[in-house]
Order: sequence, then structure tokens, then C-alpha cells
Amino acid sequence: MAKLVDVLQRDSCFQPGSTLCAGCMESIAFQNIGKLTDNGRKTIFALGTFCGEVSTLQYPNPVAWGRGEETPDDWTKSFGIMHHVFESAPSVAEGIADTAQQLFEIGALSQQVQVCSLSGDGGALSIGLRTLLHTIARGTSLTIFVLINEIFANTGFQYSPTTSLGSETSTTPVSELLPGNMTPPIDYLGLAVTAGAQRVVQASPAHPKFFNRMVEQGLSGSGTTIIFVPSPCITGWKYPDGETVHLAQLACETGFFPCYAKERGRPGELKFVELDATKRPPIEAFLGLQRRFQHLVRFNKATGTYDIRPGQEESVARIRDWIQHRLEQLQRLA
Amino acid sequence: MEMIAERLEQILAHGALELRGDGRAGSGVVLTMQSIASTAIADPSLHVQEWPFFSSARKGAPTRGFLRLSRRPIEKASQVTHPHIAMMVDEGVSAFVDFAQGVPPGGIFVINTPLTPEAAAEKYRLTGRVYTIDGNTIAMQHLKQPLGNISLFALLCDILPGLSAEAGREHLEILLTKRRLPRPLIESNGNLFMASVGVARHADCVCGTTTDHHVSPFRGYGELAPGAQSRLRLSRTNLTSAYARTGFQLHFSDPDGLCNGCGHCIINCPENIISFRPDAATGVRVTGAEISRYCKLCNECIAVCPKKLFSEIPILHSQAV
Ligand SMILES: Cc1ncc(C[n+]2csc(CCOP(=O)(O)OP(=O)(O)O)c2C)c(N)n1
Ligand code: SF4
Ligand code: SF4
Ligand code: SF4
Repeated sequence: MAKLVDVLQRDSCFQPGSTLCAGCMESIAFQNIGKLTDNGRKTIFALGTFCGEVSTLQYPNPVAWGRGEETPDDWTKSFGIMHHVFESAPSVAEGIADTAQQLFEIGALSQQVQVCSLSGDGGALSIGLRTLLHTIARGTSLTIFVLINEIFANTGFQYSPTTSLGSETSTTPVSELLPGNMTPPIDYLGLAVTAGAQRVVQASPAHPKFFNRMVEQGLSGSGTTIIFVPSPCITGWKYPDGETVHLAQLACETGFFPCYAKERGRPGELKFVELDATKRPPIEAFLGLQRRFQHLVRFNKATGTYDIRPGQEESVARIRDWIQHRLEQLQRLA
Repeated sequence: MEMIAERLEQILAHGALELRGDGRAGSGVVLTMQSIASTAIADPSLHVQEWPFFSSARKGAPTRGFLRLSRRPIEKASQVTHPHIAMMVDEGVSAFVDFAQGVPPGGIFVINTPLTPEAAAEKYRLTGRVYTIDGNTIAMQHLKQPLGNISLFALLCDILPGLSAEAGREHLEILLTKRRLPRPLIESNGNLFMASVGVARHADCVCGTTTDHHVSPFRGYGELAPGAQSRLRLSRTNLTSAYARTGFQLHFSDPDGLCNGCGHCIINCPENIISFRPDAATGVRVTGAEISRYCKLCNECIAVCPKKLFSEIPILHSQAV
């Protein structure tokens, strides 16, 4: 395992110049993934359509991908990007990995390549769930990243299968009659485990050592690694500047997006989150920072904390119960 | 004023009066254009065409809006490349785009700025009729946010044939209600609109030469050069520092050598632009960030640095671009 201080000095293939929102977690994730893949092997990325793609690859200008103007002398410093349709990043990555392996076996490629797929939660878990699960089931060696921002951000913040309970999105509005999203998020970690992934991980750069270790394991190990990266979305979640990393940490500590790792055949491990609800920070701390939950909680000037709005106790309790239920479910997942 | 009204009326009668607005995502170009469109369309003798142009624009990114007004059916359906009226909603965008590109001689420029028309003409090298209004300041009083777009709309209600302040205010309210803004906010927007009526300044200015502004690359579809769609944002020339809050920039200072090499800022800068040097004791030592070209002033480094070495400072006017 490379040391954190060494990794952060590496050359990322993700460069400034993207048109992603200021403070976008997808951007933070990409630049760290860019550094982690600068490990002496050539990388090929497959991208589906999502914020992280349309804002970094604008035909004909790959605005944010590259390693300087010069063609690198070292072949492993070069990298490839295959952009494909919305829902297909994992299966396109699988095709690339299989082809590269065959080319390597017949000697046409002198070194093995590493393959990563990048897509959003909408792309991977709603329209693309089929391809995702089948790709995992076939067990090709590749690393699948799914950036979870709970919404279809690129097209205007519509509900996705990972949207938190109670969240306002453009398709689950809040009004006197409508309570925001009423569908509990889909158990994507459980699905990936059931489909037979070699490694199922939930981690973000807000926990850099854990994130780096998980990505390195994925890149060097055999079999399919799937890494869900909880990605606070400043524009869709509607929170103030400079809170992205803080929210990603809170998301883990409050149990919305616990850090999690599970190797096939071994019990999974929850990280940086307490199973005992009384030891976790109150979920109001996470909800309160974001305007998409402003119908549920409000700031209390006197105490400096967020309080549940009168009449919303039940909705907030429902979220709390869901979190507890899910953490226990993850704990049991074998 | 009279002469301008007559000239615009003539353009309307014979073809389309073309407007182009430049701003940044969140600065309200779209709302301004939509407000004009919905006010104008209430006049049965006017034809209107309006659309925003921003593809994957994110917060702070440059956005553009186009609008055509005519007394005849509008047949053209391309971008506006030679606007009669060029509008700048947020001065921050001037680092990115030439808002006066392609404006024919004697054009009209409408700018949200505290500057006088003469000073603005000098700064942006404009020849023609220049209108300025300090929309940000007026908006601070009514909305507590520097959003100059409503003031620009009020100003345009004054200039454009067929529009009036009364009609403008009414349609603004309809539009904001449709956007589901809370009632008190609609009220303050209405007050902001009324406070902006009649306070704009204007002057006929002659500044700069014809070569000061870019020539429009094409006149519409059919002449679209490859990549023209993404002209606004190019690789490497995509200087995202212009996304930063207008008037502010990041500041790094570590005179006492407090940086402990924890790396939080380097890991969490979305733009990957924190500069550092290797250090025997701490691993790395941060020396600053690529502020002038790429820093979007997202505040993440300010938030994560345990030693509080980053801060946000106003850009002094003398240094402003
Ligand atoms: C087959 C298909 N359907 C719809 C779209 C339109 N589309 C582009 S990006 C996007 C949303 C992406 O959402 P998500 O995957 O969650 O990523 P995010 O933008 O949130 O990062 C949609 C619906 C498309 N490109 N292709
Ligand atoms: S909308 Fe959200 S996910 Fe998309 S670029 Fe902005 S912050 Fe990132
Ligand atoms: S404010 Fe800091 S973290 Fe954000 S882009 Fe600028 S240097 Fe990077
Ligand atoms: S976060 Fe602060 S202390 Fe840590 S490396 Fe950056 S500048 Fe140094």
C-alpha cells in the first residue's frame, strides 16, 4: 500500500479546467482516482453520461483529462477514455478489460492494463442496473466506481433510486400535500454483494486513507471491485460553500452513507460509524445543512443546533429507523 | 432615448431585434430573458423567440441567453451572433467571454455595474449607446444578495418597444410564482424591480477600435465551425477561476511555517491545484494554490485546513481584471 503522503504527490490524470460546480465531490473523487491510477500501469476509463462526464469531456475538448501537452515517454502514464452511452459504463469497461486481456495473452500488449468504469447513481442503479449486475456477475477484473449523489444531477436533480427519504428533488417536490421522496433508497450494497462482486466498498475521499486503500485493492486485485462513492452535490443538495467534505464525513457518521467494505466470502465491515444510534451524531446535523431537507428541520439560534420542525417528527423518525435498519442489515450481510 | 426608441421600432418592423445576454450560472440571465419574453408576448403584435444556451453549465460557469423580438414572424433559429443589444449580467464573466463580440457599430450595451457608462465604455472598449445600472447594490438592499438581473430587466422594460415598467412588474410576478418562489421573496423581487426603474444611466460613447472585439465566428447554422458549440469553454483556456464569487479570491499565507503536511487541502481541492514542495520533516509543505487560473473559490481548502492557512479576500479594484 502506498503511503498517503506519496499518493498525494502523484500526477493525476484529472486536471483543472472542468466545468463541474465549485466544490463538487465528483471532482474531488476524480482527482484522487487519477492519482491512485498513476501506479505504473496504463489505465483505461469507461464513462457513462453524468455530470462528471459532460463537464469534463466536451467534444472536441477533453477539458479536464490529460497529463500535460507532451506525449508521455512512459507508456503507463498514458491513459484511455471510452465514453459510452448513459447506462453502459460497467459493461463497456468489461469489454475493454476482456479485450485487453486477450491482446496481452497473444502478446500484442506487452503489459496488462487496469480498467475503471465511472458513472453516476442514476446511470448505474436505475437505467443501468441490469448491465451493472450482469457485469459484476461475470467477474471480470475491473474497478467500477459509482458516484452517488442521490439524484440525476446532470439533467436537473430528479429523483434517483438512492434518494434519501424525505428529500426534495425536482420530481419529488415538497408542498403542503407532498412530503418529498417517500421511497426508501434501494439496497445497492446488498445487490452488489448478491451479484457476487469480489469486493463491495462504500468510501469517499473524505476518509482518504480508507478510500486509497480500497481503490488500491480494487486496482491490484482480481475480480470485480465495486466502489460506491457518496458524493455530496452542492447544487442539488443545496448547501453552503465549503461544506462538501464535511457533509461527506457527516453522511458516514450519521449512517446515511456508512463507509463499508466487504470481501467475497468474508463478513463485511462498517467503518467510522457506530451501530449504536445513541453514539452517532444526530441526523438533524446532516439534514440541517441542506436546503433539500428544510421542510424537516430548522436552525435553532438559541442552541446553535438543528431542530425538527413541529409536525415533522414522524418523517424524521422514519429516516432514523431506516438508517438503523440498514446499518444492522449491512452488519449481517455475509 | 427618443431616438433609440425610434430606431428599435424600425428594426422590429423590418426584421428581428436581437438581444444577447452574458452571465454566469446563478446570475439570472435566463430569468431576465424569460421575463422579457413573457412580457413581450402579452403584446399580440410582437413575436418573440428566447432560449438559454449553457449545455453543461454548472454554478459559476458562463451562461448565455438569446432573444429575438419582431413585428413579423421570426424565421431565424440560430444563436444571436450580431446582437443589436448586448447585455452583461455579471461582470465576472468578462474574464471568460467578450460580451460585445459581434455587436455592429452603434450597438446598445447594457451592463450591470457600479461604473458610469463612460467608465464602463472605457473598460470594455465600447462604441455605441451604453447603459449602466448598479443592480447588485440595489439588490443587496432588497434581497440581501448581489443579483443584478432584476434591475437589468427593469432597465430593458424602459428601452424595449412594447414593454413598460407596469407590464414588466406584473409578468415578473407571474414568472416567479410559476417558479414556486415563496411569497415574501416575490414581493421583494417586485420592490427591487420598482426601485430599479429609471435609475439607470446612459451615454453615447466612442471608445476602442473595431479590432478590440472578437469577430463573430459564424452567422448561424450552416456556418458553424467544428467545436463552435463549445467555444465558450475550451480545454486549458478554460480558466475556471472566473467561476469564483465576483470580487473575491483565495489567499494562502503561512509566515510561521505552520503547515503540518496533513494533505487535507491537497486531497480535497476539487481542482487539484494546491502547490506544495516535499519536506523532510512533514512530508509535504503547502506553498499556495493556482489561484489566478483555476481556483473556483469553492472554500473546501479553507474548511479542511486544521491550521486555518487559507482564507477568502476581496480582490482590490486595482488588481481586478
Ligand atoms: C439513454 C439515456 N437516457 C437519458 C439520458 C439523459 N441523461 C444524461 S445524464 C442523466 C442523469 C445522470 O444522472 P446520474 O447518473 O445520477 O449522474 P449525476 O449527473 O447525478 O452525476 C440523464 C438522465 C441519456 N444521456 N441517455
Ligand atoms: S450538479 Fe452536483 S454533481 Fe453535478 S457538477 Fe454540480 S455539484 Fe457536481
Ligand atoms: S478554494 Fe481551495 S479547494 Fe477550492 S478550488 Fe480554490 S484552491 Fe481548490
Ligand atoms: S490542510 Fe493546511 S496544514 Fe494540512 S497540508 Fe494543507 S495547508 Fe498544510
